Amino acid sequence: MNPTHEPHDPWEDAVGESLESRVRDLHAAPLTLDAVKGTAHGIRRRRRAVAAGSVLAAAAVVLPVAVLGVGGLGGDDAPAPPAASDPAQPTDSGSTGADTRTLAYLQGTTLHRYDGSTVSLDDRYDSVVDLGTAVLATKRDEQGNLLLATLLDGEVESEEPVLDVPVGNGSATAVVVDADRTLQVSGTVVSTPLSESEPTSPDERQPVRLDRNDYVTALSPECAVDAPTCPVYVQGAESAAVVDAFTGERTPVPDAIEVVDVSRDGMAAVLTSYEGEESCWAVRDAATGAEAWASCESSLFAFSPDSRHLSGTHPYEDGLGDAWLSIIDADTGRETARYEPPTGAVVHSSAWEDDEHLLAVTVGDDGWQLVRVGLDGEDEVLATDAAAPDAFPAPFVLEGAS
Amino acid sequence: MQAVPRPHTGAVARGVSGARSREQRRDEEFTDYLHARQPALMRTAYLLAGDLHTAEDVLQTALAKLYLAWDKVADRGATDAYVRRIMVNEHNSLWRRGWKRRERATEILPDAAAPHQHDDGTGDALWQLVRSLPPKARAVVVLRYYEQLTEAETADVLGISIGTVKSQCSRALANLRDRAPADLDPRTPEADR
Repeated sequence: MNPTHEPHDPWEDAVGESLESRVRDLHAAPLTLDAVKGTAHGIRRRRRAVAAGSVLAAAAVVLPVAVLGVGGLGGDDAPAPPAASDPAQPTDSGSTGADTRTLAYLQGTTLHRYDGSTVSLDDRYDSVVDLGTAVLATKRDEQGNLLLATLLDGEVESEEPVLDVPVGNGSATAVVVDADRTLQVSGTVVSTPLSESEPTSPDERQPVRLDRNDYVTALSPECAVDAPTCPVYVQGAESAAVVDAFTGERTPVPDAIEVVDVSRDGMAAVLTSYEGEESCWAVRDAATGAEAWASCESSLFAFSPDSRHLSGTHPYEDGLGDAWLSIIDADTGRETARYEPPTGAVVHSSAWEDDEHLLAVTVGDDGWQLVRVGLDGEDEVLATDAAAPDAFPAPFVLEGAS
Repeated sequence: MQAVPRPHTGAVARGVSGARSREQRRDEEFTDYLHARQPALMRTAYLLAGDLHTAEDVLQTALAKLYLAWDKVADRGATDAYVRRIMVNEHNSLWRRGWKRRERATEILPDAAAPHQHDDGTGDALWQLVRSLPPKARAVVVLRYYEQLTEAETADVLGISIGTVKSQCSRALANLRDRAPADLDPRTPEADR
C-alpha cells in the first residue's frame, strides 16, 4: 500500500482499504461498443465544427439585423422580459448608477470593497458580493454546509444556510437561494429603477421557490429590489429558463443549456451544447432571442460593464484551471486579445474590474497571483500569495468570479 | 493494475482489406479491451466521480476518445493510463461547470456500489470523507492509494510534477486526519475505537 519508500503512514492503508471496499462489489460494465462509437462519432463531428468555427462566427456577424424579431429567447408564446435600455443612450436608472463601480474582492481576510476601501474580516469566505450598504459572503461550516453571512462594516449581521453562493448583477443586487429553495433578492436602492413601470411593492410579492433541479446561473442587470421584475436565469432539469423572482413567472429559454451572463445592453451569453471536450456558445438578444453570433471556439464567462467585450477561455475547461483568458468582441465573437499566465500556472478565476480591465487569479506551483489584465492582454501583477495550489478558500476571491 | 489489451485474434483477416478491415480490426480489439477492462475502469471512475451516473458519463467520454485514438494509443501499451488521464480531466471539467455540479448535487440514483457487506462502517465513513475532497485531491488519492500508482505514474496521469503529487497527497491525508473522528483514526488502538 506504500508504493514508494517514504515513511509509512497508516492513513494510506486505511484510505486504500476504504476505497477498495467501496467498489469491491461493483462489476458494472454498462457500455457497449456501439455506445462508445456513437459518442466517438459525436466528438469527431464537433472537432470538425470547431475547426470551422471561425468561419461561422465571422458569417454570423451580419445576421442579427436579418433575424431580429424571429423567435425569442423566451419563446413565441412567452412574455418577453422587459426591454433593455438603449446602450447608446445615457440612462438615469438606479441600476446603471452603479456604472462607476469597480470590483470587490477578498484577499485572505481583507475585503477590498468596490469603493476602494478595505475592511478586515474575522473569517475567510469563498464568495463575496458587495451590495454597497452590506456585503454578502459565503463559507462552509464543519459539516460542509454553505452559510451566507451578511456583513455590515465587516461585522457579521446575520448568518443563514443557503444552497449556493449569491449571484450578483454588478448593480448592487444579488439573488440567493435559501435552504427552502426560495429566491431571496438583496440589494441597495440607489435611485429609480430601469423601467418606468410602477415597481412591485415588496409587500405584494409572493415567495418564489425554485424547482428541485434549478441552479441559478445569472441575474439580469434589470433586477433591483425596487424594480417591477427580477429576471433570474436558471439551469433547469431539461434546459435553461428565466424565473421572475418577484412573480414566479417561469419562461423557458429555447436551445440553451445555460445562460451564463446578461449584459447591460440586453444581450445574453448562452451555452448551447456541451459534450466531451467541446462546448458551443452563442450571444443572443435576451428579449427577442435573435442571435448575434455563435461559436465553438471559446467558453464564455461574462460581459464587460459596458457590454462591449466578453471574457472567456478555451472550449474545454479542465479542472486544473484555464490555460488562457480570452477577451472577445461582444458584437462579433472575435477574440481580440489573450492573456496567458506564466509557464506552469493557470487562470483560476476572473471578473471584470471595469470596462477596460479584468482581474484574474492565477495559480501554479509557485503560488497564487492577483493580476490585472487590460483589453490588449497585457497584465500587471497586483499581489502574490504563496499558498498551496489547492488552497481553499483561494487566497484571492473575486466578486462575481467566473 | 495496468493491463495490455488482449492481442487481436486475427478473425477479420479473412480476405477483407482496406479501411473496413482496419475498422473491423479496431472494433474487435476495442471490444476485447472493453470486456477486459471496463469493470476496473468503472470502479476508478466511480471513485473519482462519487456517483454511478457521473462515473458512467465520464467513462463513456474517456472510452470514446480512446476509440478515436486507438491506433496510436494501443500500440504504446499505455492504454489504461490514457483512459485514466481523460477520466480525471473529464471529471474535473464536469465539476467546474455549474450545471453539472448542480446535477450531482440533486440527483437521486440507486448506488449499486454499496459498502462491502463485511465493512463495519469504518470504510464507508472514510469514503464519505474522501468523497468530500476537492476533485484534484481526490484524483491524487484514488490514483495513489486505490490504483497504487507510483508518484511518477500519478504525476504522468495528472500532468503535474512529482513534487506536486507528494504535496497534494500529504495535504489530502492531513485533511482527512483533521476531519476524521477519533474512531476512524487507524493509529488509534482497535480496542479504543
